This record gives sequence, C-alpha cells and structure tokens, in this order.
Amino acid sequence: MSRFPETRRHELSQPLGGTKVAVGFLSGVLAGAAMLLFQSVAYWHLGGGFWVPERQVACALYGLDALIDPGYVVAAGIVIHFTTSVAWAIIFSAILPLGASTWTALWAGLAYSVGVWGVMTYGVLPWFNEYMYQRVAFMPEWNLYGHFVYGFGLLATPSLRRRLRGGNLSSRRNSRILPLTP
Amino acid sequence: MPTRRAFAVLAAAAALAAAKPPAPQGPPPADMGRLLSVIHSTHLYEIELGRLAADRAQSLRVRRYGQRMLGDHRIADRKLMDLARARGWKIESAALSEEERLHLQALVALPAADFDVAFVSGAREGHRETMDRLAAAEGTVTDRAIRRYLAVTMPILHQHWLLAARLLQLGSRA
Repeated sequence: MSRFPETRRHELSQPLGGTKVAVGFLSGVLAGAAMLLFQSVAYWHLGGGFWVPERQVACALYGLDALIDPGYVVAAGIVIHFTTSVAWAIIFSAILPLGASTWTALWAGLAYSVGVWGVMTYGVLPWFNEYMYQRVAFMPEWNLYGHFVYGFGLLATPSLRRRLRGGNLSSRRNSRILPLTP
Repeated sequence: MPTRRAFAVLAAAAALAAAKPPAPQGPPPADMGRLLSVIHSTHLYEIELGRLAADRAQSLRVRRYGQRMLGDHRIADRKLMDLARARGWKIESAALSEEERLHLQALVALPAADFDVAFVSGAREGHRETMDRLAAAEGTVTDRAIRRYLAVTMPILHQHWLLAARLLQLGSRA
C-alpha cells in the first residue's frame, strides 16, 4: 500500500448560489417560453383559441372574468406563468448535479417535469385556480405534453452553467489541487 | 435459465395488460346513441351561436364570450367524436331543430343594439337547460368513458353559464 498521498485536480469550486439562480432564471425563461408557445399553438390548432392558456392562468387573479376581459389579463397570465416556470427551474438548477451533461439534464428534466405537472395540477391548481383546474381536466393530455416540453427545455441548464461560469473543467481559475490523505 | 424465464413471464404479462378488448362495431346502444346524438347536436348549436356572437356582438366582452363558447364546444365535440370513434360507434349527425333554427334566425334579425343582451340571456338559459339535461342523463349512463366525459364537460358548461350571468350583471358593457 502506497504511503504517498495522492493528489488529484478537482473541480472544487461549487456554483455560487447566485449562479444557480441566474442559470435557473434563464433556463426557466427558455423552458417556460417553449411550454407556453406549445400550449398556445395546440389550443389554437384544436380550435380553442391561441390566448386561452394565458387567460386560464390569469383566472388565478381575476377569476372567470379572465376568459373575457381585455388583453391585460393575457399579460398577467404570462407573468404568472413565467414566475412559476422560473421558480421551478431554479430548484432544478439547484438539484442538478454539478458537471451533469446535457444528456443527463434532458432525462432529469423530463422526469422533473412530470413531478412539476403532478404538484401543479393536483396540489396547486385546485386551491389557487379552480377554474383552470376544471379546464385542465377537460383537456388533461395537452397539459401533460406542455410540461414535457418544459422539461425538455431544462436541458439547457448545463450549457448555461458553463457559459455563466465562463470556463471549463480544466480551468485553473476554477480549480485547485487538493491533497488526499487516507 | 431463471432470468430468461422471468423475462418471458414479464413480457407475456405486459402483452396481456396492453391487450384491449375489441371495440364494438356498429351503432351504439339505443339509449346511448340518443344521448350522444343530443350532445353532439347541442355542441353544433352552441358553436353556431358562438360564431354568431363573435361576429355580431357590440361588446368586446360578449365577442370574447362567443369565442369562448365556439372554442370550448368545438373541443368538446371533437372529444365526443373521438370517444365514439374509439368504440366504433357512429353518431348520427343531427341538423338543428326547428326551435334552434328559429332562435338563430331571430338573433340574426335583431338590431345591433339589442343583440348582446338577447344573446347573453339566451346563452344563460340554454346552458342551464343543457346542464339539467346532462345531469339527468349522467345517472343513466353506465359506460365509464362517457361518464368521465360528462363529468369533465359539465364544469365547462357551468363556466359558460356563470360568464353569461356575469355579462348580464355588467349590462353587456365592454
């Protein structure tokens, strides 16, 4: 057994909290935008109307009037949607392991999106947006597909991490030698 | 080998679980056929009403209400037809009844200033009648998918009724 301590170059610097939040914010905006666009196009294609998803979200603030009120409710729905998507993406950014590949982020994102769908559909909507809950029950599969699109969008998280940290794993600025002693 | 046998058993179990009973072919049962035909023709009528309101209403809110009726009943009708198709049932495409046709004609003939209130009042009463009819029918339906369809469609009809009541309260002002 060797008595010499082995040294290894580790990627030690953990993403700072601010970086995680920034990465989560950006990936949440991207994934949220993809999800919203998918839902809007789907509803339009099915004959329901392009802005219906946004109006449904806005029912949390304006009640059923959000379905017939002027355009400001659409803006409110968009704000609520992106606030929620960013919040969930920040959590995802925090729990995704450091150094995870885009491929890992893809599968983790899809699995995560199923969890988000479950919590939002059955844990949040019945309490905070009953009207949207009823409308989602009317077309449940499209709500799930939309969340899959969101999860797919989260695969950008590792790439955003690398960009925001401004380096790669072998960067001297981001690593130091750590002696390992048994 | 135990592992190979286990895989074979799992594969057979999965195949059995995935196997669905063949869909019945031909027309639906008599009572179900009547109910589905009534629901289908109601959707078509509401779609026409919604289209009329989206084109003719003076108030923007009433126009949006018409668009909502049009969109939701389109989706509901599509779901109904998909459900019937999955079972191999053919729903008879019913024309508008005499009463419905006369109501539409009366709305079209109304002066623009009177359209909104007349439309919204009619929509409120019409949705109330439809909800009562479907609630009565729901108790007689045994098919689980149809019961589920009725259960998720009723809240949407209720929302339309609530919106109509709200619009009357607002005086159909934009």
